[in-house]
Order: sequence, then C-alpha cells, then structure tokens
Amino acid sequence: MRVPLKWLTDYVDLDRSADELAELLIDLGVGVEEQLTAPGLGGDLLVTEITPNRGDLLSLLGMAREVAAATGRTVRLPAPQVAEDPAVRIADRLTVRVEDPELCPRYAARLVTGLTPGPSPQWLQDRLVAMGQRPIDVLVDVTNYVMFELGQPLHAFDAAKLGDTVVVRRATEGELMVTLDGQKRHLTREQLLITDGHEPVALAGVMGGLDSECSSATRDVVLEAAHFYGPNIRRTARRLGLESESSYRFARTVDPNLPLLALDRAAQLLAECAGGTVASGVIDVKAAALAPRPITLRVRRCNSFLGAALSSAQMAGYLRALGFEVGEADGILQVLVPTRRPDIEREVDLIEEVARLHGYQNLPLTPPPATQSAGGLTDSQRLERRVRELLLGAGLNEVQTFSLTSAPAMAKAGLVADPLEIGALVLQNALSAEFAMLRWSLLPSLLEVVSRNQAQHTEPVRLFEVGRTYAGLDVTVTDQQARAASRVSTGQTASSLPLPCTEERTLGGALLGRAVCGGWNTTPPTAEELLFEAKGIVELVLTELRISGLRVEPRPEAVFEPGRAGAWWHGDQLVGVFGEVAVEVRQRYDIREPLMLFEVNLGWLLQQADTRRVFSALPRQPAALRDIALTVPLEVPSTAVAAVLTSAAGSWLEELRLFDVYRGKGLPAGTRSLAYNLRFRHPQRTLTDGEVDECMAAVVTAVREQCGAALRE
Amino acid sequence: MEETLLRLEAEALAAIAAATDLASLEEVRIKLVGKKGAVTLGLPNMRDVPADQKRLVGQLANRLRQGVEEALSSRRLAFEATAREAARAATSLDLSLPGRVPTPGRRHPLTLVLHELVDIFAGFGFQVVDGPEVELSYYNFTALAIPEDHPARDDRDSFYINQDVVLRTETSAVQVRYMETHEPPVRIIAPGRVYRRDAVDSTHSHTFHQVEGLLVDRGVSFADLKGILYALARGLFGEGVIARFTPDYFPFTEPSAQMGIWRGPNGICTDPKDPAGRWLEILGCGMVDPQVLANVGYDSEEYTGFAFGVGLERLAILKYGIDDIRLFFENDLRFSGQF
Repeated sequence: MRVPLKWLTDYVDLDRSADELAELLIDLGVGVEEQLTAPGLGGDLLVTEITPNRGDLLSLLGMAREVAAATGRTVRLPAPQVAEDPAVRIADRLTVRVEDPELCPRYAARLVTGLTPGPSPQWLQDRLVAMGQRPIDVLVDVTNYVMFELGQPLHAFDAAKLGDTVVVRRATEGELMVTLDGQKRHLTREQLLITDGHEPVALAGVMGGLDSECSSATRDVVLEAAHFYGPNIRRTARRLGLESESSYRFARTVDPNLPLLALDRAAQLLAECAGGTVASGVIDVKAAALAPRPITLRVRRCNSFLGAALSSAQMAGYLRALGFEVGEADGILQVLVPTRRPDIEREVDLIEEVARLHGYQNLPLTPPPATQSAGGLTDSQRLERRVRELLLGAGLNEVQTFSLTSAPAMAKAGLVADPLEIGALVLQNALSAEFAMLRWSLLPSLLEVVSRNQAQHTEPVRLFEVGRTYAGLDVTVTDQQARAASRVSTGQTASSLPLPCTEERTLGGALLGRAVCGGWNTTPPTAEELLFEAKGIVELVLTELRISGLRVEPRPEAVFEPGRAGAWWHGDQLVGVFGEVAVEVRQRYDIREPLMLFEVNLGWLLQQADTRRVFSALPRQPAALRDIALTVPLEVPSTAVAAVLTSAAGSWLEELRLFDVYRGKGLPAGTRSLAYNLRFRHPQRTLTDGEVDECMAAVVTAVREQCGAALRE
Repeated sequence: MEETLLRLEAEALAAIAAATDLASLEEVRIKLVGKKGAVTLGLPNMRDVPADQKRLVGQLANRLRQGVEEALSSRRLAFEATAREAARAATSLDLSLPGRVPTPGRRHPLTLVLHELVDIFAGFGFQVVDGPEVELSYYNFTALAIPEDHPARDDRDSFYINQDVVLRTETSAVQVRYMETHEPPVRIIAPGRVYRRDAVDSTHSHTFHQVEGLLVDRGVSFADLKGILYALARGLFGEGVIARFTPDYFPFTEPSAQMGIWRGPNGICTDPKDPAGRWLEILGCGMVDPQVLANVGYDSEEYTGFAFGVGLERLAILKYGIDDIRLFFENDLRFSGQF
C-alpha cells in the first residue's frame, strides 16, 4: 500500500518527517519497504507492506486512523455532501436481488445520471499516479480514487447497458463470460457473478464484464459498493489469474459498514468532476452484521500476558485511540470493536492492540525464566554429534543437499526402483520436473556434488551428509486420524501420533582422493584402498556406537561396480551399503577418478547404540606378540579365517590384526596370503614362550583343517 | 714385563690413531682386542708374575686395557660423528617446502549455526525434538489455527503429496505433535527442513531450514519471550548486538512479533547511528495463540507460552555475510571450507 504524505494529511495532522513516520509505522507493525518522492503528486511517499490480517489499512483513511491512534490526533473523516435529484429515484430504475447472501452479505448501489465522461481533473489524476495507477477517465478514476481513499472497492456500470435489474448469484457450471480485458472466462459454481438477470455483467469483486463497461458514450452509471466474502473472492482471483486492487482488498475483508459512505463519496465526486446528477435514494440489500463486536478485556490478564504493569486507564486509552468504545469497571474493560477491525475477535486480540500501541520496545524484558529440567541434548543426539566429529576427522566435508529430486535423477545414479512400489513421496503440485518427489537415497545427490566439485578441480572430494530419506507413504493416514488422536478427542495424552510415511535419518558418504593434501610427492590412493577406507569409516562409526555382529554380504546394485560393493545386515534388516561406483555411472556424472559411496541407516544405528561407557582397567601383565602368514584359498573370506584364528587361539588372545594381504607371484594358483599379528596376554601372570607356542600350533592346525590354509614359509 | 707392556700400549694407541675410518678402526679393534688380538694375548697371566712385581704389572695391564678401550671408543664416536655430519649434509631439507596438511572435513555453515543455537537453548533448559517433514495438514495448518481458506494452504504456496499430506511449511507443526504427546511445562526447540513452493533464486528456495522454539508454562509472558530472544541474539552475535521487536502477524501467535537485528555491510553493526546500518528481520515470534493451546487440550487460562521460528539460512547469511541462499545447497567445497 502506497502512502503519499500529502494525501494522508487530508485526514490527520502530521508533525513528523517521512523518516519518523516510517519508524512509527514499523513500530505499529506496518512494514515500510521503500521511501520515495510521490510521482505526480510530489512530496514523500512510503511504500508499506500490510500483514494479511489488516485489510483496514489498505486505504489512506485507514492509515490515517492508525497514525492518529499512535500520535494522539483525531481523524478527519470525509463527509461527502450529495445533492440528490428528487425527480430521479434509483428505486424506479433498478431492483437488486442477492441470491447468495453468504458470498454477498451486502450490496449497495447509487445512480448518477447525465454524466459527461472525459479526463479527470488534474488533482485527482495526480493522486492516482502517486498510487501507481494510470488515469483512464473520470468514471473509472473516481471509483479507484474512492477505493484508495476509503478502502471500499467500487464498480461503475453503464446503466443503459445494465438494464433495470441486478441479480447476484453463483455462476453455473461451465458458464462463460467475457471480462473487461477481453478474455473469455470459463466459470464454475465457485464464482460469484453480478448479472443483469440473465447475462453476467461482472465477476463479483474481481473484474467487470466487457458488455457493461463504461465508455465515452456513457451518460448514466450505476455505482456498486458491495461486501463480498473474502476467501471466495481470493480463490476466484487466483484461479483466473485476475488479482486486482479490488480482489486484494476483498480477500483481506472490507468493512461492511463502508459501502454507503463510499457511494456518497463517489457520487459527490462524479457530480463535481463529470457534471452528473445524483439520483435520490440508495439501494442497500444487506445481511451483514453491522453492529460493533463486544469483547471483554481483563486488566490483570493483559498485564500477566505481557509481563507488564499497565493501568486500566492506560489500556482503555490505547483502545479508545483506535476508535474502540471502552467502558471500565472493576479491572475489566468492556470494549466495542467497530466492524472495520474483523481481526479483533477475542480478548487476546485486544491484548495485542494494547501491546502495539504501548510499543513492543516499551514492554519490559525479563531474563530467561528458570526451569527444573536440565534440557540439552539426549544421549542419542550427543552421539550423533560424536559421529559427525568422527566423519570430519576422517576428512569428510559435510554437505546438505535438497530432499526434493526427480525420477530421472534417481535413475541417473542407477537407482531404478519403481517409485510407486517403494511408496515414494511424489508431489501433487511440483514446481518443476526437477523437484518432483522426495528422495529415498542420498547417493544421487552426493554423486552430483562430487561431479560439481570435480568440475571445479577441487580435490580431494570427500563428503558426508546426514539427511532424511523418505519412503513408505501410507495413504490411509489422514487428518481425520490426527483429529481423533488429539487430547481434545480422547481426553488423554497420546503416546504416538499418525505419520504419513517413514522418514529415515540417513548417513551418506563419498570418497574421492586422500585426506591429506600435502601437495607434493603424494600418490593417488588405489581404488582398493579407497574402497576399504569407505568401509572402514562406517566401521569406525559402528565401533563408536558399540554396534557389532553385523553381517557383510556382497551387494549387486547398478550404482556399484560388480563385485565391489557390499551391504551390512542385521538379521533381515538392511543397515547400509558401500561400494565403488560403477564406471558407467561415473561417466554419466563426468567423474574421472575412482569414487566410493556409502549409505547407512543412521537413525537405526543411533537407536541400537550403546551409549554407556564403563572403564576397564589397563593390563599390568606383559603381552606376547606373534606373527603368522598363511596361504589361503581365494574362496575363503577373511572373516572366516579370522573367526577360526580367534577361536583356535584361545582365551589369552587379546587382539588379532590383519597386516598384509598378497596375491600374485610366489603363491600357488588360487590362493592368497593373509598375514596377522596376534597379541596374547594372561590377566594374572606372564605367559611363557612355551604356552604361546602351543597356542600358535593350535592356530596353525585349525586354519589348515578348517580353511585349507598353509603356513607360508 | 714392564717394558713389554709399555711398548704394547704405545703401539696400540698409535694403531688406533692411525685408523682412517670406521672400517679400518674395526680392523684395528680386532687386531688389538679380538680373541687373538695383540692386547688380548699380550696381557700377562698374573700367576706368572713375580710377587714383588704383581702390583706394578697389574696396574700397567689395567691401564693398557682401559686405555685401549677408551681410545677405540672415542675414535669410533669421532668417526660416527663425522659420518653423521656427512649424512646430514647430504640430506639437508628445504624447510620452506609446504607442510603436509591433514585435511579434516568442514562442517556445513548451517550446521555450525544450528549447533551454536542448540547450545544456547540447551543452556536455557530446552530440549531438542524432531518432527516429520512429510506432515498431515492437520498438524501443519489446522491445529495451528490457520483457517481453511488461508493462502498458506493454497497449492500455489505449499507442496502436497495428497489431500491431507503436505511438506511442512514451518517447523511449528512440531509444536502440536509435542504438546499432544507431552504434558506442560514444555520447553523445546525443533530444528529442521521446511518447504515452500518457491522457485530457487538468490533469495528464495523451495527448501530451507528453521528452528522452532516453544515454551509453555504457568505465568509465561511476552517479557519472557523478549528476554530469551535478546539472550539468543547476544549469544549468536555478541554482546554489542542491537535488536528490536516490532509487531507482525502469524495465525498461531497473538501478540505476534518479529525480531530485527541491526546490520551493516559486513554483518552485525554495533553502532546504532551508523548510516550504513539496516534492520534485518531474523525471526518471527509471539505468544502462543490460546486457540492453539485449546486445540491440543491445554488449559489456556492456566498455561501461557511463547513460540518462535528462526530461519537458519538467514542467521548464517547475517553471521558470515553470505549473499546467495543457493550456495548452501550447491555444496561447493570452496564455499564450506571458508567457515
């Protein structure tokens, strides 16, 4: 809403500069976006932003009221003097029937005859220009002027084209009308029409019809000032893409008591500026509630709500300044709120008005109130932070990518699941094909980030993201269930509430290159090293969370190289995957070097995590160290060898560590060499060489028999 | 005997002195004190020494043995030192070469700001809770007293999965879920993603992050709200920060307010008279509308509360002087490496 100060002072005295007025308005909750020189009119102009609850501020008069309330001034209301022609009565020329009083609670009209259309007087044109409007002719300009002045949208019909009847009704399904802009509109039952009894002449509150438009030949006009149901006007304007100054105001609710004043003002201006004669009488069909709304304000409640110590008289003073009627008795204010403020419905709304007028800055400020509960992070939340620290320490940079994605983006990464089958969350009203559904894996966006960074020659590209993945849409979960689960319905506190889908807290990672960038004499990691680093990073997390006993199995997936991907399982629950990205996939993202990805269900891990930490004493006895190198058939996995070694070595074995894996020259075909460090320790005494030798002999026998392994000489 | 020993000593010391390097010294050592060395063999068997000479010969023999050992040892140390010198000279380093820098990962700037904010509120006794992003419109709109015909519900502004399921448009939905499942008092913050049907440009994004705060208890007032949010501003931006509260409108709070921070061209401005200073709105807040408390079955006469929602991107923009919201989601490592 534009506010030219020269115009504003018609209604309220102003002893402030534009800067000061802007400050004042901001403190009242009116945003000020810009301060300019008013085009046409000259002087300062404030471009304000009005919150949707304050339709009453969408006029110069409304602004003046607010300024007056805050500065202790009085408002000068326009008091139009209309010279009615007793010889011409509107009642003889027009009847109005409102068929839908819910959508049109009030419809008022005046008739002005004998007009000479032409350009508006300069002063009026200047004011419209200041408001950002292009002056058209006096008939249209006057209706716009009155709208900006008072806030009531008006419409002028050519009385000759309109005929003798106005019927306000809903459109029929599929009904057609041509609006002022020449567009043919297809209507539904949702649209409210002004008709001449047969044909539509205006889309109520939104735009006039082409057929009843005023022109230079117009002599008599019917002025319409109506009160329409705001939400309906808003929907119509949106559906037809016809947002106008008029629909904008109706959508925010116009004072139902305004039409008669607005008609008089417009009639007066038409008589003055276009030589018209005002017919006597007004047509006024009304079902609207026009009485002020009574609300009680408890002074104590107001003060305790605001943390303030205002007197009853102060509160009453603020409310009276807003033009509310206030009666005071025994710490209670009986307030009558005029119809121009439909946003004031309850005591708490009055409390806000008191706070606004007193000034938010002038209300007291108390230190954060004390509490009994410690607050802070839960164990699980702390653990998640710990996991993040570990990942950062491993040289992974945190990223955050969009949850919104598309089926082609998922498929590009090789994730070809049928979105419907996995219950993917597909948007009904996506803004673009690129962001049409919610991701069920982090891997595609990680691939994009790697690709983008590599294109910038950034290396290494080592990433992690903790983000949500979404699947399992449950179409049976509805608002109805939410209502039924509410404390209001059940009388008790719910233990759980309906959820429309499964949102998993997921950890994803990508590794390309080493975590040290010394810049000189470094060798790129082999794909194998990098793959096991990716696996190792997840193992680090598992260890920190004290989760053991997960099973690792090969995981054939299109995103990964065949034979170079695995998955962690807990029973039949898939916990995570890791692997080297397939060359075909890498090529699609233009990634030139080996890239490893991993993705684990972090939410599940944190749930399973053991957050307890208990000290165990450091050993006092010396350890005995032994190495063993084995030649093992290729088909035996290292976990099997380790299991046999561990069980055969006996209870003194403290740690088993694989330190060398070799395939190639010097080994029998079909075998590889695995070499381990074994550390033995007795809790109470020093082990003798003989005892440890016996353990080692048992180990060698066991791996020979159970794994087909031979001691490597 | 005496003469023999003295001569042997002189010859041995001369041989040691004549050694030219570690290898020749080792040869000399073997010749002198090896199993068949001259000194080893030349030392007298004391039983054969006449009684009256025993003392003198014993002393000479000891002096010979120790003297030779010491001479060998000091000569060896001298050769080793020389060798070390040479080796050092051969492997001298250019210490101006760059260090081998470990590259630990960097936190995303939104996480940095979030953790700061969480820590501040943890200090005030707030707990961190979570809620779904895919939300029933009942929790996202209806229970928050957003009317059926409010524009926010429009499918031009919000993403829908189906008639009742929406991507949450603000973290306030968590308020309702938490109050429905907990008795007052309530003291929570709820960070997370929210979605609006906006195209992505330098100041808009269909996805961004908020942190919701909610405190409900007996006797909570607007003054308490101001107190906590001023403390937040000081915690995030330092003691000198200048903040203000001005009225605003949200359907689920009454009175509603926004908090603005006085900013200069490079982040926070601590001079209230700085001509380059501007107000930047960083959060919306207000007293929980009694209707919202009633919707979750709380007695709104007994309990009052306040709520606030702060945009994380906005905080990060202010704190670090970032000029384009898209940077947060592009994840260019040259960006996140700066914080």
